[in-house]
Amino acid sequence: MNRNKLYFIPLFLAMLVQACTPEIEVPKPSAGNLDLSKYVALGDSYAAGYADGALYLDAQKNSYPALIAQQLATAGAGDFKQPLVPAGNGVGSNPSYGKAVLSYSESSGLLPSFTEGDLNVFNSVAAEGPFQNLGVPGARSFHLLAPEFGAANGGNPFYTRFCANPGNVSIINEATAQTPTFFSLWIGGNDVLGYALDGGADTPGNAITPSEIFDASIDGIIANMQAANPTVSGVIGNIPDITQIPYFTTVPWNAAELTAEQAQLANDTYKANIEPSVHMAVEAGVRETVEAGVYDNVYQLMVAQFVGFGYSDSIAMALADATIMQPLWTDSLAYLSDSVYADVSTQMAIDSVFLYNINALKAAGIYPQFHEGTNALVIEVPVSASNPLGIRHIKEGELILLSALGDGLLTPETALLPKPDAYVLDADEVANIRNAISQYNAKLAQAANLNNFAFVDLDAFFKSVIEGILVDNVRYDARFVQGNTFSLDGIHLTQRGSAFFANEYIKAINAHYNAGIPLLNVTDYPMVYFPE
Amino acid sequence: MQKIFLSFVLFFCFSSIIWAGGYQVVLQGNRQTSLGNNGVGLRPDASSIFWNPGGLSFMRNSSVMLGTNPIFGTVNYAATDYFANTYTATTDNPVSTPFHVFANFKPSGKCDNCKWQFGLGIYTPFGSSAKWEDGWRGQYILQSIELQSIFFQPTVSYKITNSLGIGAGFVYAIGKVNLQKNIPIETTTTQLFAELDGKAEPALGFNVGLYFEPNEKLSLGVNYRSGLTIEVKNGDALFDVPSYLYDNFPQNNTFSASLPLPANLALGLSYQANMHWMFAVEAILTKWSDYEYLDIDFTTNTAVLNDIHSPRMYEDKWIPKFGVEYKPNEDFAVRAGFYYDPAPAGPGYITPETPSANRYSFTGGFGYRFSQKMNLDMSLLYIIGEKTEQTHQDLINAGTYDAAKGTQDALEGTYRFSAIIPGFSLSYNF
Repeated sequence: MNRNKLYFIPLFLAMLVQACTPEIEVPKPSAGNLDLSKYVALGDSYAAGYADGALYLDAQKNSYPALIAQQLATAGAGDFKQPLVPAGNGVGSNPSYGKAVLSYSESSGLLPSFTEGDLNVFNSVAAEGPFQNLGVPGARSFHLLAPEFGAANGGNPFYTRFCANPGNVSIINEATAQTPTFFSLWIGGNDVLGYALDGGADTPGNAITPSEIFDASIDGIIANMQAANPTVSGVIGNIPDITQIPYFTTVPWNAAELTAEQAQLANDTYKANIEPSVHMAVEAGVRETVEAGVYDNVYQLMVAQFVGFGYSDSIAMALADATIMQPLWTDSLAYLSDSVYADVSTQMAIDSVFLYNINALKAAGIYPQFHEGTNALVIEVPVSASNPLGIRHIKEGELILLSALGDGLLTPETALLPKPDAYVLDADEVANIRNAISQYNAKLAQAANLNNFAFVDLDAFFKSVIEGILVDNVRYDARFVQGNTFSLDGIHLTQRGSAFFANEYIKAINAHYNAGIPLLNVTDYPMVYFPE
Repeated sequence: MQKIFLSFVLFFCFSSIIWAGGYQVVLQGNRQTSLGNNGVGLRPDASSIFWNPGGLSFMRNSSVMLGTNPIFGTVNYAATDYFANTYTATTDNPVSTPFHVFANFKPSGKCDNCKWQFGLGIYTPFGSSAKWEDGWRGQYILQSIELQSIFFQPTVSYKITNSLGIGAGFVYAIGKVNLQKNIPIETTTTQLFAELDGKAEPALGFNVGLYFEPNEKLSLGVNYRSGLTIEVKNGDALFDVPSYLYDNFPQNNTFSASLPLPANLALGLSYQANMHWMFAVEAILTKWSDYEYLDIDFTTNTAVLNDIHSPRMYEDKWIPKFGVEYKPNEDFAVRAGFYYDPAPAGPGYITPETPSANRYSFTGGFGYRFSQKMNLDMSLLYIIGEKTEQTHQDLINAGTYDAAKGTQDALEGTYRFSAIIPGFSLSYNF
């Protein structure tokens, strides 16, 4: 009996502690001026929850729209359904591959490797619809309005898999059919990303979307949303500078770290490839000049002779033309040319022209020169009058794609070889991308402003991430893997990165609609998983 | 008796200890605790070895006192750094058990005029224990800490006159620390973490006091307990990481660290108004300003493993205490008290290991004398901290968030501390 009673003492104390431990009051989430009964997300792979090179379930569950919806739900938002894929590795835009995982080996260290793609992902889940997350990997602005985007043949399989009527309804149709009260729109990344991932190669379908088409698409999307519900609220995000994501920044332009011996070897190799041909070109040029000069001199002498004989100028020239074609004279001209060509002064001229050309090529960065330390990589460019070699050192600000690493172009054996154009964004291409983004962003800001939607400046937020932010004693930046923000494809976000972006949306929503939606605790969401 | 004593000490040496203001734990006698932790000017008992060695010489007999005060403490956290946030976290602290053992010996037996008294105290005046819920927002700053110290204090006290006593104790302190935080790397199955675990080098200090009993009603005391610094040398710095990360997190790494345990100066008096009522007041100055930085030096540093030099900037604080006792008869006493323990550090320095706050402490308890030889004192202490908020800007100003160095040692938000501490002391006189 006594013993039994004693057991109650700790229990009693525990209850007392509970009763006497004051909670800290937290605010009640509020929807402000928003009607959150139907939230629909429009977007691309980021919205879909694509990460690590694939659309897979775990990342999809923490897509930024799902995270926004989860927080909106605390203020009474309705259900938010996503077209979830089966559990597992998912599938990428290259269907052979599922998500990438980080693996470790003694020889190559930590490297991402791809799992096998799960083609079951492409089985239609349309019957479970309608869906509120309408983000589709690969979608560009104008795709949202295009019914054929979901076509079983020639459409986007990531849309086809959940499209209610493939080939006949567009993403915007699926949205408006639900009469949304609130939407998020983040589109435009792929309008430049296709071009960028292609090394700016402009292969058909990968061109930058012209700003007129982009603008018209944004207008069309908003007009559709407002036609379905004239009082619809929304939040629009702008496009960060995609040239700063790890896919384009992981390989530094001056990635070639060389010892003096390695630099010498590289220089000798390039010299052996470049100088004989340059020398031959100079020789050929001088030979041509000499032959032309000898011919011209002899010809003028002949004409003068014939004129001396009393012929008119035109007849003298006709006679000279005929005479100089005689084998005797052609042999003599060749002999004369040979002797002039062989003359010391001609050879000196050849040497000096050669040297001049070589120095000019070096000065222009066309003739690769390596030295001890860091060196700019070499890229291929079109052969032109100003660049007869068709190669040059890459310049600071020009970008080598991460695919160069994956495709083995940066091994010790291959690192110094010229990189094909598909792996490179040169200064013009980078400028093209940035110009397009700034045009898109002007449109997106204007569209938000004109329609009185919330606007989230993701471009500005991403700039702060590039600088690096310290949050809860973790540094986040835009570096590959180490930066904690980007997943293993170097393009898409980690789930924690998604949480950061979702928080930016929530801040913008709260500010614009006088709402009180709580932020996510970012440390609850995983980053890149390391191998055991 | 000896056997009980030993097992008692062994038991408590292996249990953990927790806090009061800062990381000081003033729970060295439950008569005193129930009187709002008044002890310096109080009529003596064996725990005067801690409270005021000067009073010990006034003890009428030899005695032994054993006591403990299990702490049920909680810190609540709310992420108030954004107006709409609802994130909260709480500690899941293990119950910690500070203890005290005091034995005083009166050489010449039961005589009212002997001048000398000797004593030994074993007690736990500093400690901290916090275990935040798994994966809480501050997991990369601190997941858990256990700081323990045990003081051994042989003491001598001398009665100068019939109304004045002086006493001094020599303090030999041992301690240990264990600190864990998560590394922001996860494998598919585990969260990587770092653990610092070390034993402190023995440290030395002293405890001196003067006790004055001018008449039957009044008693006064002054007590000074020296500060000391506990130092860990070659503690284990353990990093639970896969082998490919050993370059960043070297194995068999060690660390050194030090933590000042501040000095205390206390002035107190008690007044026995009549046979029923007694009143006590005390003021104690804790020299927290010794705690300027938390320094942890790793033997091997790497690109991601830098030494820690984190500002704490504690400030000296006076703690006022009030206590009252009512004795309906000779054998029974009912007690109550209050003390105010001001925060030793302000916003910006509120760190997860000991979230500093102004704390209000309410005490109550009773004493019962079973016989001339045996008495029991029980207390209940309820501490409620003020809700204390620090902003991100506070952290920047304090230097506990340093973007340039990439270090953050405190977390913005609101903290609230509370604890319920029951306790008892059993005394045996002989």
